[in-house]
Amino acid sequence: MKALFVKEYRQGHLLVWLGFLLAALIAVLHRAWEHGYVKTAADLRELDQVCAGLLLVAAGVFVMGGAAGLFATESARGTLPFLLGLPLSRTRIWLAKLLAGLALAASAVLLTIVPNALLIPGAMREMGLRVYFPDYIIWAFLLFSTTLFWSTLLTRAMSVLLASLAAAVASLVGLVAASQLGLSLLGYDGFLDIGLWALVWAVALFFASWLTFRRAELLQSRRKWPLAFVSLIAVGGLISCVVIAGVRFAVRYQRTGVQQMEAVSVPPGGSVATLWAYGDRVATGRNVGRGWGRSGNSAYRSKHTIALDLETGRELWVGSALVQASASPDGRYLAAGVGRAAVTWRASRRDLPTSAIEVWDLREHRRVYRGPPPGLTDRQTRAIGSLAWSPKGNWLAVRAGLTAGDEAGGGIIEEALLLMRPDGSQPVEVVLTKPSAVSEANDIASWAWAADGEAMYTLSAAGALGCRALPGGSATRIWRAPAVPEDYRWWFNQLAPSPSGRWIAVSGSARPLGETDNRVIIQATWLVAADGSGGFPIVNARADNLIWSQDGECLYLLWRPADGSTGLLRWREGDLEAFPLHVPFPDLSRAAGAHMWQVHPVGLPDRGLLLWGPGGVGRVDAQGRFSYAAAAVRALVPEYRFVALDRRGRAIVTSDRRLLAVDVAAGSITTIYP
Amino acid sequence: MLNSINPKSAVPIYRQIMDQIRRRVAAGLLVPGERLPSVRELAGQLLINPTTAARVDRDLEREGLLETRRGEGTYIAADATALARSERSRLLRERLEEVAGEARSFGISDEVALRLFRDILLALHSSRKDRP
Amino acid sequence: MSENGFAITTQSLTKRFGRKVALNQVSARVPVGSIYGLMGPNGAGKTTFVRCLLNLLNPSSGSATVLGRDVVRDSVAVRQRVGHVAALQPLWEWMTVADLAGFMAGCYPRWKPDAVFGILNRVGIERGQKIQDLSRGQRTLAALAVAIGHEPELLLLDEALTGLDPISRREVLRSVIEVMHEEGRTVLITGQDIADMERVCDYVGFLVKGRLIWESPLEDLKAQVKRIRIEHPADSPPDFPVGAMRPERATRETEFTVSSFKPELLASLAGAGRRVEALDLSLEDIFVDLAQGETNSPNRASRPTP
Repeated sequence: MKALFVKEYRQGHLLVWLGFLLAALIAVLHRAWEHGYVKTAADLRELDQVCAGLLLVAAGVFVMGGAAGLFATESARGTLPFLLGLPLSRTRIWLAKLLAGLALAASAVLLTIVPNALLIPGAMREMGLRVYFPDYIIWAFLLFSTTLFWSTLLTRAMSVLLASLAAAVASLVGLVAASQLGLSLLGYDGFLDIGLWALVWAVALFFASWLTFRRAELLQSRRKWPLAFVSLIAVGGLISCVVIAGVRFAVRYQRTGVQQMEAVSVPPGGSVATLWAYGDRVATGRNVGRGWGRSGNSAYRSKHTIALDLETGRELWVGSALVQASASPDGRYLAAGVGRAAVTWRASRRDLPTSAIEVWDLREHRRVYRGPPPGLTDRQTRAIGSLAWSPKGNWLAVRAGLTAGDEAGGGIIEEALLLMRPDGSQPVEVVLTKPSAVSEANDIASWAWAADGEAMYTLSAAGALGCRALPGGSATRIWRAPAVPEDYRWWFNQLAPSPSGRWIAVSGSARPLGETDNRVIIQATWLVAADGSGGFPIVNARADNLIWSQDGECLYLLWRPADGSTGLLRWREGDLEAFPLHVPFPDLSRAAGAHMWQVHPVGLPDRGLLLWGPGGVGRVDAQGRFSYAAAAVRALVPEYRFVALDRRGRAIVTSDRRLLAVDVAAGSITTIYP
Repeated sequence: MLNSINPKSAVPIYRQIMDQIRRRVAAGLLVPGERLPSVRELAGQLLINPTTAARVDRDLEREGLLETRRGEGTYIAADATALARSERSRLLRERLEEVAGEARSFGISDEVALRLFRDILLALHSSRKDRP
Repeated sequence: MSENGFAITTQSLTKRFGRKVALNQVSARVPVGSIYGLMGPNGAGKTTFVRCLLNLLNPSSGSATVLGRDVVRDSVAVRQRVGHVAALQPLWEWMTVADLAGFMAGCYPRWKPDAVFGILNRVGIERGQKIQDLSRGQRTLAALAVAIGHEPELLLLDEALTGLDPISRREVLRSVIEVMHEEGRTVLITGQDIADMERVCDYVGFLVKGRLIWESPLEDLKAQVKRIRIEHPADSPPDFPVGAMRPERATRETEFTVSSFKPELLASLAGAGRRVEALDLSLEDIFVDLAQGETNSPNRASRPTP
């Protein structure tokens, strides 16, 4: 068999030198072009990129060339009967040719790329930046196996090359289309793990070509083609099923590998939680093919984004760590920011800014959108900031930095609030824009969704509250904060439309400009009627939290005067002002020495209020009476911090290792994850 | 080649070669003690089956015409000439039988045939005298 | 290492290509140490037969045994002991003769370069010559030289002499004879070089349209297939017996070929005013007569029982 390997290698070694010559030619052209036409650094980079691309393509072609002649030329030249008359089994012949082909391909690739590392260092760098080499090797392997497969079927080397190129192009087109459609076969990360499938089908192609060569008669019989394709599809299908089953099983099984959580978020009244999970062995479909437990972001030790169904605790979505992942309140969608939207070798790179958005339909389990905000291009969108869903999940608000002009630095950046449909079906509406030079101190309350998601309330720095109907409506002013002296400025910190849609609560304070000692002069909380009939103050204090009850009949105000106490006020429909409630809670929080900002008040379904903080857990009921939660619940504090109330009114709390759902009224605790 | 064979003839090749060797021995062209080509050489020269060549040697040895000395080859036997000579009549008889059959098929009578034969023999003698 | 003294035995070997039947229930037996000539017209299935023995083709039904091993199950072991030279076999043009010999040496467990280079030197082929520079005859000789390097017990020459000039043909035959003269070595020659086969073969087989219609020692063939000539009066022509081949008739002469001649036959055909004789046929004539006889009335039991 070694003799055959040597013979095959010698037969094809001219090809290797051809690859070297081609690469040298590219290097020479690079030099010539460099001296003649390159003027700026950007030009040089572009030239390097072109050369890098050419070299990669050339290397790919020579990989195919190594395989093309292996079987086809034997048939064409008529030497096949001679070869088969030797005392070698067909499997050995196939194996010897395969190894020789691999050796030729490897030699060709090395000779194409290695000398150019010395001659065109810029091209090597570009290659390193844009190509993930393990993926490239796998792609080259797939090209090789495709060519090998066709070589056993066709008789001329040129037709083998053309058939393989056609197959490669067709599969690339198919994969791009599939990834754009968001097809997911592995059940998790939507981006098809090209590396994994390339490996699977490369193996299937090898198998099919071996079977064809082994079983096919000496003469060109028609039975060869059905045999080849049937075996290819059968083997490929079989391996795919095994891989899919294995991955699905593995991911389920590895659930207990979660060691830590981060960025747990639940939309208020929502049914889906999103979080980052860390673990050594939390695997996703994406990572299975490339070494267990290694994430796409290698800086982090296998960090994954997980979307959980809070009712069942089931993972609805598992994928590589996304930024700004948030679920819609109705639990239907998951939105997140991702890296460059183009189909590259890698889905995202940590050194590239997030410029695109992905939206997943968690129920149908497919991706419904991927790309920059609709109507904008990659180049116009500089960075995606936060994402926020409208209460009904029909709009997604995106804070993004935009450039106007060329991408290559120096473009004007402005910040905008964009509204888009979850499936990206309409171009974005740009609601607010401002140059990024201004600080974001006012942004906490500058806009809020109306309860039905059909309108948006925006509050300007001057205190003008506008209502803007969606889509495409213009803002109508419905209220304006009272005038203040010349050198004063309003700072609004709370903007809370009521769930019933009748009121908008606004809270703010006016301070002299330039003062930094936080001495507040004028402060108030107003209720503004949504129908534009005006607003009235309900307390002369700036509330730190405004919490509506879920039916919109009660408004709780939590405020913390400078003396460290905590005040709780309540306004009810029909009242003209808010009245204080008495709770022992602030004393507890002070005793524990915890910062008062960590008290989380949340409106309960029954118009009550839930207080959760380092000092303990308690409820204020509809009558305004305070009671402590059950001891078991209180015991969760301070290890567990509050996240949000879910749809069923349970408190979702997390210790960064576990996620629990607590029914405060009943005193029951359920572990949701892991 | 000193042996020539006619593959197309009905006479098997081994018989043809045997006859030729006998003839040559009888005519004194091969003398006792003379070495004959080996089976391999014979087969290679004539392009015949080595088995056939081996059979020639074997049969002639059985007849007593040849003897094989181990490791040295095949040689004409000591009394080969005498044996060969006695073969002469047999060989001639075979040829004459063929001629007789032909004469009969032509319808030539025995006397005419005999007269023809005698004329030929006489002519042969006279041509021999003419030669120096 | 052969079965009952036969180097090759096939049992009802059949090979179909789609609807075409290339080999039809061929049961052949090639004795060890023989030079067996497999003759037949073009397309009779000779090459198919040889390819089945080497397992280049799988039999549709039936089986074959070469040197005691089944050709399908032990095909690699079979090919280790068999040499094969095919007609005008394309070789790798870029190789030199030495390359080819070296390559073959690497494929076989046993290799004796002396025999190989003995042939090459004798016919004047140099080691460094490229195969593409060799003439047709030289290629066949080179192929033969490397085919016998592993001292095969069986040599298959598949139309190897076809298309060669007379000098090359003789060189090929000479080389074959010299190499295979050792005891126990068998040669199977297929082709249409009847004259050469007549010299060299001691067994013959006739393959016509995929059927083996004759197999016997060459002597027996010549003894049994003869042409009967009857001279008779014009008014009483003898009937052609059943199975007579190439019947010819003139007014007072009748001839036909029979395939199972016995001296008694002459006596049975004799009669008043008749002269009967049996004429010997050359192998070529036998070949033509048997082939035509098969074409005209196939499946006749013309084959002698062994």
